[in-house]
Amino acid sequence: MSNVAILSLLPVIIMLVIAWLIFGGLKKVAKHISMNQRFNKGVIIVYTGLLLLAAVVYEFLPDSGYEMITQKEYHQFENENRAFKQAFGNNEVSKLDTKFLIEEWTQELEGDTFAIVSPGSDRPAVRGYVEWTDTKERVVEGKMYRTNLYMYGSNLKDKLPLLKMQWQGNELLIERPAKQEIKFYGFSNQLVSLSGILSRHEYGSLDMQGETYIYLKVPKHMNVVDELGFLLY
Amino acid sequence: MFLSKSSLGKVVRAQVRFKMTAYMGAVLSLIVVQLVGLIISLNGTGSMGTSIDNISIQVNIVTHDGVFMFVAIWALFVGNLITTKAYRYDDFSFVTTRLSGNIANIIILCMVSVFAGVTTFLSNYLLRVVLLLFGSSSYLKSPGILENPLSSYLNVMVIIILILTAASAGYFGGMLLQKSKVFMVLIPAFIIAIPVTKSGQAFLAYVFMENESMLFLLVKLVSITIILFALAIVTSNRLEVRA
Repeated sequence: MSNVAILSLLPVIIMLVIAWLIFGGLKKVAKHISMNQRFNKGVIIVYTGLLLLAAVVYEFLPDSGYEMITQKEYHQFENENRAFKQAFGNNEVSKLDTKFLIEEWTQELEGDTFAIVSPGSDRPAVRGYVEWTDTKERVVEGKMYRTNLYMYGSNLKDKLPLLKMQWQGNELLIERPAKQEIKFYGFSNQLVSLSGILSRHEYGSLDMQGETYIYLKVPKHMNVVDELGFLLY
Repeated sequence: MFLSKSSLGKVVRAQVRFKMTAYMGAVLSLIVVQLVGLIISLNGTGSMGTSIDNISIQVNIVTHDGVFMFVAIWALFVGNLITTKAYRYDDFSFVTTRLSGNIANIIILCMVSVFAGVTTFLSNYLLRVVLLLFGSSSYLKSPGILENPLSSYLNVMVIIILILTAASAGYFGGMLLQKSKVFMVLIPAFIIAIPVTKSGQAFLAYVFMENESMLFLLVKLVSITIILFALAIVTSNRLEVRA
């Protein structure tokens, strides 16, 4: 028997020991308590009523949770992401879906050189594209896009902090958000221990991270120091 | 010659009615066990995690598993408990046979398993409501009973049958223990052997893993339950009579 199999048995053994102790304790306690039938029936009715009430209340609780998408929607969003990536890669700006646009800005610079930098050792996961324009001004235009982000079947785009893009002098800083842990509750009607044989677990297979895209329009006469390896055209 | 003629059905019905009241304590202990399971499940029974750009995402999944584990063990204990002498001798208050006593016990275990299964399933909703009203984390919407009634019904059925299988195993084990104390050693050895030996693992895989749908699992579990109850009846027929 493999170590993994032995380890997987541990929780069951621990549960058995806890249950054994609880039953032992219950037996001892029960000896000292004399409950009449009416009391017993009362407890059972109240408990069952409470459980039924919880099921009803759950159905009527205000909807503040993150909606789950269907497989069909998942494929649709995946196709949208793919189409955006393709359009971005081919520099087909007109085909970029504006629903993914997060922010856009225009920045006037003082010198003829600017740098695209990222503080820290980890490079942010971002796809960039720099398009040269014929303008004589020192104006850089930028747009940031974020494609569909679905984790565990839910749209978490508004919950997760995005990459930050800001100007510091002649440097365009692209920063990852500060380290953070976000917790969610998920509920299931299935026994997870049997989810291998029951229908696939509700949350397992609907992940789609999407990507962040930065599109810059830079006058031809300017120099760009690009630490992040954007595509310069 | 008897003053009144009593059929098997009538005797079983009378015994079931008597046992329903007599075993109410077992149902109370089920409630305590479920409450313990609920407290343990408050932090979720499973979790998944991932991270994107410095943000770590953790999803605590709240399922029936924690409560179910306790209830399954409870069912094993209850199945065993009603084979003990104290409970078996209750049957002698009636004009009875071993068969009628066994049938009454099986009916009671079925009824208790249905109650345990339904309440185990519903206990998840109690957790959902408590966590949504008093918890600080956001939640991912999950289907309720009304959104997916067929799936909910099937899941309740699976839980009920699993609990009944545990109860039938406890009942059969209890009967073997009443027959000979040797089984006090043999039964734990057998339980340990199932997940440790290759044939035991193959059996578990066949029952729990190799199922194309939930229906296959249900059929297998019901078959195992029937076999265990039948073996228990056969074993009880060989027990000594009351001294």
